[in-house]
Formats: sequence, C-alpha cells, structure tokens
Amino acid sequence: MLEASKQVLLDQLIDAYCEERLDASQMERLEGLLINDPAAQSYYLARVDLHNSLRWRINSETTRRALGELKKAGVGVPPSDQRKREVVSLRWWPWAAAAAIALFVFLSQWRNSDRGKETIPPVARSGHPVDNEQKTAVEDSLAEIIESRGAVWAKKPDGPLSAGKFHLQAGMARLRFKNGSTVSLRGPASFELRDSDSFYLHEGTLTAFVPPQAQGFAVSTPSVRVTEAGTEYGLHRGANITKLAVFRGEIEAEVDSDYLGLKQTFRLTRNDGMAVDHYGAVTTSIIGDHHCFAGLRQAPDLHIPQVANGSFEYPKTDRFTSMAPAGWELLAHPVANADLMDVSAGTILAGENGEGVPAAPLGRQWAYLNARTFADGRSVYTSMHQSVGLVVAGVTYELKAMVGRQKGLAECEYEIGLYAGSRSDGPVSRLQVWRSPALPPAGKALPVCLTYHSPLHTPYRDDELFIVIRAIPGDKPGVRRILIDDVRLSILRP
Amino acid sequence: MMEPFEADETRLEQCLELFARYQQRLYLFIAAMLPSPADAEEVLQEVNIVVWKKFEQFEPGSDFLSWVYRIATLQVREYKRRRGRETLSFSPEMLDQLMARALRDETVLERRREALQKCLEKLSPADKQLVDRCYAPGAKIPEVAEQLKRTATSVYRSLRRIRQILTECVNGELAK
Repeated sequence: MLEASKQVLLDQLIDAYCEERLDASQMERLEGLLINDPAAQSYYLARVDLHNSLRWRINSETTRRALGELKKAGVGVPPSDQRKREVVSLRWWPWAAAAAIALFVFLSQWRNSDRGKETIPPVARSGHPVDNEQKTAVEDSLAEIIESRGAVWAKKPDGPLSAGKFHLQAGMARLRFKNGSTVSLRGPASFELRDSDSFYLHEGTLTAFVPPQAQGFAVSTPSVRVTEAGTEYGLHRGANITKLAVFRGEIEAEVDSDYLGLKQTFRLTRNDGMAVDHYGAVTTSIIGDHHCFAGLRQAPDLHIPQVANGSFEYPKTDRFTSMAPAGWELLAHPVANADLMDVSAGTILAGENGEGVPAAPLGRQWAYLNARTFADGRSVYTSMHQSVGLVVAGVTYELKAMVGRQKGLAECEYEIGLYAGSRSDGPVSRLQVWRSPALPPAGKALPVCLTYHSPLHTPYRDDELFIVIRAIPGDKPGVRRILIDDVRLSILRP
Repeated sequence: MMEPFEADETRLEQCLELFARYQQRLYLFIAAMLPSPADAEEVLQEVNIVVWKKFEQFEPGSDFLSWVYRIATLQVREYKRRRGRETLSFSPEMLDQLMARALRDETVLERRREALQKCLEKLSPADKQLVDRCYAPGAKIPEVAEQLKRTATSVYRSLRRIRQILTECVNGELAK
C-alpha cells in the first residue's frame, strides 16, 4: 500500500514528467521514492502509462487519418480491400510491422519537419522555342560521361546519355549533368535518367556532387530521395538495404517506405549516415559509412562554400546542451575566464519548454551563444566558427542566417563575419565583419542577409574561409544570449 | 505452445507479427524509463533494430515480452551512457526493478489501457478536444494555449485535472 504523503510527492514528480520539465535533481528524488518500493513502482508505472498511452493513441489516430487521406488521394498505400489483402497476405505483416516500427520515427520526424521544412523550388528552366523535329540528339541528352575506368556496360552508351535505363556491369563511370552536378557510379549498377533534374538508382553504389546552383536536382532510389544543392554524398542501394552518407554540406533525405506508404524527412549533415532496410525501418544514428564509397568521390571543389550543420540540428537536444554543434567549433573568450560556470554556448530546443525560445526557422533547435558581464566589469563571451572551403577571389558571397532572441533575456549584440585562416590556426584574418545587422525583439526571430565582395587581387586567395559568429557582452552586468539558425553561404552567380 | 519454425519465411512472419503486437507496449515501457519523448522514440528505434538483428537468438515459445524488455533496459542504459548527463533516466538498479515490476504488472497495465479507451469516450467534449490538441503530433502547450487565448499554466493545470479524471475512471472500470 502506498503512503498518502509519498503519493503526493510522487504525483508532483509525475506531473513534472508529463509536462517534460523534470530535471536531474527531481529525477533523483523520483528514484529515491521508487527504489525498493513495489507499490510506488506500480503507481508510477500506471500513471505514466496513462500519459504515454494518450500520446500513443492520439498519434496513432492521427496517423490512421493521414493514411486514410492518402488512400483517398490515391497515393501508394498498401492494398486495403479484402481480396487484395488475401492475395498479398505475405506482404501485409511486413507492412503492419513496418508501420508500427516506423510510426514513432515518422511522428517524431513529422514533428520536426513540419515546422521550418525547407522546400526548394525546382529551377524554372527557360523554355527553348525549338521545334520538336529540329531537336538533335545532343539537345535531348541529359548527361555526359566525363570519366570512365574499366567500365563495362550492358549496352554501351553511344555519346551523351538521354532519358532511359542503363546498366553498368563493372568498373567506374562519372556522369555530368547540365546543371553541373556529377554522379559517379561503381558497377554493377542499374540506373535511370528521367529528366535533367533527376537521377534514379535502381541498384548499386554512387557518390553525387551537387553544386549550390543545381537547386532541384534529385537523386533517388526506391526508398530514399535526396534533394539539396551544395552537397556531396554517397548512396548505396543493395538488395536489403539502402545506405546514405554525407561528405559535405547538409542534406534533406525523404524516406518513402513501400509498405507504410508515407514519407519521412530527415536532415543529415557532414559525416552523418542513415540506413533504410527493405521494410522501411530507418536507422539514422549511424556514422556515414565512407568506406563503402571509397574511390568513387571526385576531388572536392573547395572553392564552393558548403556549410555543415547550418540548421544546428546536431547534436539533438531535449532542452539545451553546452556541447558544440556538429561541424562548428565553440570557443570561450578570454580563455582565462572560460569557466563553464561563467559562460556557455551550444544548442537549445525551440519553442516548447516555456523558456521563451522562438520557433526555430529550420528544424527543431537553435544554436546559442552567451555573453556575460560581471559586476566588477569583467566580461566573457562565446564564439563559434566553421571552415567552409577556400577563399575565392573576385566573387560576391552571400551569407544568410536567422537570429533570434529568447524572452526574458536582455538584447544581445553579436558579430557575424567571414575570416581567412588555416586549419591549424583557425580564423585569423578578418575579411568582413558585420555587427548586429538585425536585432530581434524578445521571443522573435529575424533574417540576416549579407554580401561580401571578395577583391580580385585578395592576398587570401585559397586560404581557408571561415564563418565566425560571436556574442558581445553588454555594458551592464548580466547574461545575454543570441540564437542562431539556418546559416547558409553561397557565391552569387552573375 | 508455439510450434518450432519450419522455414525462414515463417520465422520472418512470426518476428513481424510479434513486432506489430508488442510495439505499443514496448514504447510505453521505454517511455516509463526515459522522461523525454525524443529519447524514448530514439531508443525504441534502436531496440527495434537490435530485436530484428537478434531474432535468431529468440527461443520460440519463450516469453517475447520479457526478452524485448530486457533488450530495452540494456539499450536505455547504453543510450544513457552514450549521451551522458544530457539524458535523464534512472540508475541501472532502478531500471532493473522497473523492468521486473512492469513485467509483473503487465496484465493490469494492459487492462488499464483497454479501460482508458472507454474513459476517453466519457470525457466532456471540451476536455476531449483539449486532450486531442495537446497530445497531437508536434503539439506544443504554449502554442495550444496561445490559440485558446489561455496561459500555458492554465492548460497544464487542465491537463493534470483531465489525467486525474481518467485515472479515477480507469480505476473504476477495473474495480467493476
């Protein structure tokens, strides 16, 4: 029998659990109440089971409704009428299981992707008023073979490749598309060209380099579709599994389970990986399997800037963490004052904690940088930077970001800038720095769009290029915090 | 008693059937050990993968639930070890005790889940609507509160009251 006083304490902690505001000390207290007390454990299990059952039931209902809508709309979902079900009974269980397995994956990703999901409009291709009869084979071509090593084709392409199916039996072949994207394949590989913006891999291994201007270019397999420009990644489609590994930039991968009939969207950044088995079960928490793609990558063009983890989705956090966002380096200044108790930086969950953090423009979380001024006049601040390629002379860079301000904290000035430097020394020479180009009001976010013209005769040509962001301490004592999300850097084409 | 698997295909079907049947219970068990839904969902995925890979080791006819709960407990420990202080969970000893208790209480918990469905239907339309909104995928209480022109605190209070009503209703159903 559970004591009444203990039940009151348990109720308070269980409410905190249900409201997702349980902290470490409360967790310890909860354990203290539960340990070696079967009655308290049963009470706890029953109460949290009710809360989680509500979540499960309502989410399942929502998913069922979504499936119903998709069925109505005729989207490829499993056969529903009894006759078909009998015919494909062997397929039904995998679907049911995949649906169950994927349900929470789907729901969590849905939660993450419905807000701030980036849709890249396909490039509007200029229409060439060419009479069909006048079209030549070259105009019909979608890609050309630019490199070939020991390639054995089932049917050797005669010149540039037009729409159709191809089978590379052995060796390696590299294709270049009109938009500048390259796809390198290792045989055996079966693939299909459908139009100038899509490459379909039926089976085999490839690496793809998609430059920033190739917006809308998609590489697909039966279960995964990758659409993000300014990236380099590898894709392997085997009999039982599809593997994806990101080498540069940050991608959006859409997973389409044959059985579930619903799409899930994942964001992956440099060195991340993902695997999808043929039942649609997704594993995202894996390191990109670069060995699988060894020898296929072309030398990367470091003159094309590519920001990794510009969405600050990694590492994923439940509330906030003072770990460096993946791909970025965090520094505290001055180092002598860099006590964790004094200043912090990292990633923070958007919105839902009642902490006044605005919704994240891209994904579910922001990066944050703190600055602190002490009563004795000392101050500390944090900065973060990332190497994004090499400095190119005579071009215009466009640097975009979203900045936000948490409610309840004083306005925080910040600097955002481009620096030249080296891998060993980090960012050293300032190319251009902007001070607080936008100062968001409390609880809000504002976009920042900055351009930098790199001189034709810059002494920093081919140095490493860095994006650097830092928080600036205020004049008065206190902690200030700037939130940053969706950082992008590109070279503007004339 | 389950028959020994005669062919791989049958075995695959068995595995998938068990997966589908126990997925909700597995999630609810993991969520009881990890307060953060994001952590629970991630561990559920990992457990599914482990169960899938180790299914060969599962003794047909033995207790599938005990087997997957054991895997889930180990996976929660491993997840906590990997994520460090970032993840809130219980000590290994507490996790073992909760696993044993959850297995013992499983029949009662399952009956409570069935009763919950009836009790949800008894809620007033306003309460039912609030539950639907607050437990919907991606719902955030401050946003729901804003839409309802209420404070987040008042919505949290209403949810506490509704959970209490449901708990009492479920207890009543079980006592019948």
